[in-house]
Amino acid sequence: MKLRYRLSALVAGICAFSALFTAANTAHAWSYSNTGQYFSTTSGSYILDTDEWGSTAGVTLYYNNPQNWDLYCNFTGGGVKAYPHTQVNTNISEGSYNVWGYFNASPGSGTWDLAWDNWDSNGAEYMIWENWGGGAGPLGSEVASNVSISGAGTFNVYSGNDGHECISFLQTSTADNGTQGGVSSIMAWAKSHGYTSSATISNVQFGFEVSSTSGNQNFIMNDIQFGW
Amino acid sequence: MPDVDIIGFSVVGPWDNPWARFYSLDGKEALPLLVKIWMTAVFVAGMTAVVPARSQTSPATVVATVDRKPIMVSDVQREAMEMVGAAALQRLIEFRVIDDEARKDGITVTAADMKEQLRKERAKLTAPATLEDELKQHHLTMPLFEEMMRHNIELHKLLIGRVQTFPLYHLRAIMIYVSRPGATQTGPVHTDAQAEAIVTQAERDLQSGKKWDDIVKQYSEDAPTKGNAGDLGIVNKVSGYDQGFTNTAADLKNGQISTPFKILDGYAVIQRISSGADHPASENDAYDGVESAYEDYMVGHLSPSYVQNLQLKAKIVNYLSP
Repeated sequence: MKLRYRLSALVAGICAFSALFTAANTAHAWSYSNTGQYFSTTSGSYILDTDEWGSTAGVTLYYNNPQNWDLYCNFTGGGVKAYPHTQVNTNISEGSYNVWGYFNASPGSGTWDLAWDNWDSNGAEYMIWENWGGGAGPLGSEVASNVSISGAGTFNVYSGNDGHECISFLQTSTADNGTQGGVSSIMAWAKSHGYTSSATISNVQFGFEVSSTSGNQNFIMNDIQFGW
Repeated sequence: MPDVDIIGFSVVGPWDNPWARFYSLDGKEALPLLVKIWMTAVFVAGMTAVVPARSQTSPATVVATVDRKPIMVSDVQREAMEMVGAAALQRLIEFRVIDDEARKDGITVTAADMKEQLRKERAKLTAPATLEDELKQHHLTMPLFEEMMRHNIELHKLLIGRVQTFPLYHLRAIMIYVSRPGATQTGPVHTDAQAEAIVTQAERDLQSGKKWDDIVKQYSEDAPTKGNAGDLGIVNKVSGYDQGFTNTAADLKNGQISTPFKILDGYAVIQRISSGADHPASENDAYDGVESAYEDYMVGHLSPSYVQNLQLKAKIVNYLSP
């Protein structure tokens, strides 16, 4: 599952303190880089967060803008270590959901998932897993399989609770790049099956949830664009 | 001034990540937000007669001259109010409701709490960076930092009872992967039947007395753990691994090896090394670290809505931000 990490102000602050700006990694032609655990930067509506919440291991976030970045990391042991992601704050009311996204990613080797993480105003979490690797798995148990959702794809659906409801839609046709549409239909499916009531989508996130890596790895977001 | 009730006011994420907008795209400090908040807080505090010593300067005091023309404290105050007055006041309101709730619950922040938190925060910085250097770089004072820290400790104590915890296990695993269209393959992959046959053979080898480490090297296809005896570390059901790992671990005793089980992308066999309830003292720090990270995460997750609800319950009249 994706743990939406909402940092305590202090922790986030300290991590922002640790921001160290280094020379660009010319091998990847990145303009900027940062080694902080919780670095964040904004451009327009797009927000980029390192969100290394489950580890203090040194990581480097290379980036050109919030839609084009690379997390260079080396994680060992269990547990999600980081969710580097691109975010937009949407606050879209029910009935107006028309969220879609184009994504193009290049994951590294390890245990990870490439996922959307959408939160509604009732505190429920909706994940859409586009791809994954290693021993990754969503929270909870499978509640439906091969669910075809118009405009969105076909999914195996998992439901779990870690203090809040988390429903995960795992694409049956996985890919590291493509266009994900039909978020409104996914939400409608969740509502019709009792996983949510009327709600606003507070924000939309897309990134890699990384648990462990095979040595040093790059998790690259070549491009991500949201529409809503 | 208008008497404006701000019930329903949208919280702009100070408990979410107050530093999140701290940098411009090129990573340079864009807006020293807390400095502005501090400046405005001093002013706002002055309005309510809770006046820090440094703000007792007369508004008519000259703080600079340009070609002999004065810039006065009142000019600075006006500028600060316009720039960040609303955000600073919002911050102070949140501090106040947290303080009030902590008081109701009999929660106090001791010197030992502050010392321990400060130790943790210093430990998070990578040498040669020091907290003092970082504070200086961002134009922050230790008293202001400690004030933030104190409120976060209060918030943590208020919310920790709401954090749901899950059993922790230290596990080792052998994983065999199946082919999946679209998968980003990093090693050998198999049909489901092939993977099941391989993992079954691995289990047979273990039962015949072969060493775990050798079997991991021979069979496991999980790149991150293959070179480390399949060590997954300490995990619980929210660790991002397939739920089969912790579900299976729950039925094992320490040292016991499971039968093969299905995971999302293949099959696995695990060995339970220890559990949160039964582990050697040498693993105390590791278990505490995992539990603490999860608690911090959950408190961070719960904080925004909790602080918002505290504001909704409080009678707040905001004269500054209609």
